[in-house]
Order: sequence, then C-alpha cells, then structure tokens
Amino acid sequence: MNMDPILLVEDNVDDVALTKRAFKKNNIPNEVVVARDGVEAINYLLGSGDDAGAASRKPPAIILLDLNLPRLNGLEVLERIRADVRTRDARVIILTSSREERDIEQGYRLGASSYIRKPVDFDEFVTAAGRLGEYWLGLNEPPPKKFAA
Amino acid sequence: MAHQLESTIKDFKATVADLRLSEAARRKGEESFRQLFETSPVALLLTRRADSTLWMGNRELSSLLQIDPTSLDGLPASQFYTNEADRQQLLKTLKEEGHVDNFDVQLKTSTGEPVWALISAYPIEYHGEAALLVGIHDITRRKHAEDEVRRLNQELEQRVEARTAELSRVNRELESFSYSVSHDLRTPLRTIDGFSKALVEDYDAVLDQTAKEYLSRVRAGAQRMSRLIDDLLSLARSARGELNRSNVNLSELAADVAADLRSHFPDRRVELTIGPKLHVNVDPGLMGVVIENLLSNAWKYTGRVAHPKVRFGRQTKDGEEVYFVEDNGAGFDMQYSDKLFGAFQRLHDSAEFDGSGIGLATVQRIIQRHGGRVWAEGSIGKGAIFYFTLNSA
Repeated sequence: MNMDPILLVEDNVDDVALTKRAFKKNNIPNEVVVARDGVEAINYLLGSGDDAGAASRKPPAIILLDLNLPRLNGLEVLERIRADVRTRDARVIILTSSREERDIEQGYRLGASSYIRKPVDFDEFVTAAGRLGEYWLGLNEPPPKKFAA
Repeated sequence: MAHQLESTIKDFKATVADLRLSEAARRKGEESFRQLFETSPVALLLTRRADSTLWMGNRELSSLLQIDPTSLDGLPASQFYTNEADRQQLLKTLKEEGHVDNFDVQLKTSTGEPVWALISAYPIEYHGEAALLVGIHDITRRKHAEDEVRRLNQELEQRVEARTAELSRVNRELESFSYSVSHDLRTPLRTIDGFSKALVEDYDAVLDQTAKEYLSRVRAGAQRMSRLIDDLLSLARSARGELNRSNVNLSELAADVAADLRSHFPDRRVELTIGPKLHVNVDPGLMGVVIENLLSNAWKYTGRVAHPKVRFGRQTKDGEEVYFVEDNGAGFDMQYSDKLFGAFQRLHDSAEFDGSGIGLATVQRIIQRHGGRVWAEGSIGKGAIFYFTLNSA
C-alpha cells in the first residue's frame, strides 16, 4: 500500500469533507492534502509563488483533480503537470461532477490516468472511493521513485 | 424576341432586293419598306456605312433613344454607345461574319439615360448607298430584373449568414448552459445527500425513527433530482451535435442494453426476444439512447406482471420498415397517447413507477433527427407497443 499523501484539488468545502469521510470509511489512512484551486495545486507540486517548499516535499501518491476550479481550471492544471519533467509521471485522477463527453475526451487527451464521476449518492461515493484507493494505492504499480511524483 | 428581330430584318432585306426590279416596282417596294419600317414594333434604324451616321429611324427607335425624328439624320452612331469599345467590337463582328445577331450592349439615349439592348445589324443597299439595317431590342427591364434577382440573392445570402451566426451563438450558449448545469447543479445535491447520510451515521443515538425516515426522504429527493438532471442533459444532448451515421446492428445493441438491465435488476426475470440481424444506418450513440430508453421502460412497466415478456423486432407495415418494442406490462390509456412523448409528461404516478418523464421525449427527438417517426399503442393492463421508423439514408 502506497502511504504517500493524497493531493485533493477541490474548491468546494463540502466535497472536501465528504471525500475525506469516504476515505476514512474505507480505512484509507493516507494524509489528504487539499489545494483549493489550480494555482495552489501547481504551487504545491512544482513550488512557486507562496509555496516554495515543493522541491523538498514528498510527492503525492495520487492527485485527485476536480475540473471546475477557480483561477487555473483542472484541465490546465493537468496540462502543466504533464509538461513538467518532475511531475509528468504522476497519477492524476479526474474526480468531478460531470460526465460531459468533451471533459472526458480532453481529460484523457491531456494525459489523465483515470476519470471518475463523483456520484450524488453518498453510498456510491464511498464505494467509488474504496475501489479507487484499492486500485491506485494498492494494486497499481507506481512509476520508479527517480521521478518526483 | 431575338428571333423576331432577325426575321424582321430578313424581311426588310428581301424588300430592299425587290427595289432593284423595276422603277414601278421600286416605288411600290420603297413604299412597303417604309410602311413596314415605320410600323415595326421593333426599334429599327438605318445607318450609312460610309461615315457611320444615322440615316433613318422608326417611331420605336425615336422613343427608345429619345431622338426627335426630324433631327435624326446625320447624327453620329457613336454618340449612342456607352462604350466605344462595344461599337468597335460590333463593327469587327460585322466585318468578320457579314452581319451581327443579338449583340448585347449598353446604349444611351440622347439625354444620357442607359439602355440595355440586343442589336442585330445586316448590311443592305439603300438608294444606291451602302447602309446597315439595325434592329434594337430593349432589354433594360430584363437587365433590371436580373440585377434585382442578384441583389435579392445577395441579401438572402447575407440574411442566411446572419441567421446562421445567430443560431450558432444560441447553440454555444445552450451548450455552455448545459455544461454548467452538468457541473454545478449536481454538487449541492451531493452535499444534501452526503451530510444527510452523515447525520444518520454519526447521530444514530439521538435521532429517532421518524427523523431517520425524514432524512432518507431527503436523500431520495436529492438522488431523484440527480437522475432528473442526467435525463435533462441527455435530452439536450440528443438535440445538438452532428448525426454520425454508420452501420449499426440494433440486435446487438439491444442485447447489450438488456445485459445491463439484467445486471441492474438481478431479481427480474424477463423473457426477452430480439429480432436477428437488424442492421441499419444510424448514429450509434444516439440510437443506443433510444434502445436503452425503450427497453428500460419495458422492463419497468412489466415489473408487476407475473410473466414479463419483451419483444424487439422489425416488421414491414404498409411497405415501410417499422421497428417495435412490445411488452405485456402496465400499458397506458390510448386517450393520452399524445402525452407520452412530451417532456415531463407522465401517465403513471411516481410511487407506482419511478421516472422523470423525459425518456420518451428524448427518444422522439432522436428518431425525428433521423428522419423517422415514433408512436405507441397500448391499453391499460394489456401492455404497450412502441413503434419507430428510421430514415436510414
């Protein structure tokens, strides 16, 4: 089981609370770091602006990325993650409300590792979070550590 | 009209030839030539070839070019051409071919008004002098009509362009609207559902049975609205975007949908028959939505019968290929059959059969976009048949 922190890029506080709750219910012990918008996420990962400590920080096990975000939106964040050699191999899972075809299409084109639609039904959300953790933190073999994230 | 012009001129040539016969005949010929010349409904003109001046013109010519008939003799022909180059071209054709037929040219009247004309010119000898007999057919009105047609066409094109731009603007707005609905409307529902569930779990000890029941109603409402949003988005999607037709095996499509339905409702035992190899040229994504809606309706409305049967197939009705989905379920009152396909129209209350009332509206829109029709037959308690046609062009 990969015990590195999970980076949750999400601007809605309710969704943050519910996502954390869903992880807890699945006994996923990883620390959940929250970035409240795209710029915060990029700063955390690549270190610039207010957050310059990124270089020394442990890279997240997975990045859960919402699409509708203030400042930089989710797809722009994804594009920057893939463009930087330090984060290009990161596992980025789009976790969002919509299943608009163009979001899914663009998401994968820009290199999303997975696309998961947040269900409204919390029971389904808990199930989804459990499977997500099981696969991406357990079953899935992460890239070698020489890459930052 | 052009033919008339030519034959008039040829008649005159014959008359002039007669002039040579005898003096008496000459006088008689001259008289009838004059008479024909004057009374012709075509503007006629005689010019001297030696110096290209006007010699004689009839009433039609005077009125066409606005010349006083008494002062016509001796006027240079060139003054009635808008472009001298046209006159040179006419003379060149005359020299090369011996005559000119239906030469399209812009003339001008003595007061400078433009006149569009077709000119025919034949050389003759008149009173021993080389002359040109010229017939002029006024086509100004035709030209104006042509210009008007061109102008109207252009205007129409501009209007179509403007409408198209307007339409694509509205489409873009609609698209960003449904995009925003798709993202933003569901988020608060998740909050409602999630925290209701959290209340039940975390405050189990302090909530009584009624409170928990209320909370489960809150959650059911949020989930129903979420499905409603999905259905509305599907209806909106079925109306926009391009139709990408390809060869689709509807039998396989129906089997896939049925497999989904069976796994979703594992305790339902539905006897399903699917007609074999129903190939048709349609949009596979949109057609999937149609089959899914019709089959899941059949599944839903057979929920209360002892031996549910659903049949999907194709038959020929009045020489037309008609697809059908038939079930032996709850059916409906034919009196309300026109309401079946309206958005939000429901014929059963939601406690009996859950649904948004959008599915069949979506089906209808997709079928119509394929150039087909959809209709239904049924009676209460005796099942329903949904028919549709597809223009597979």
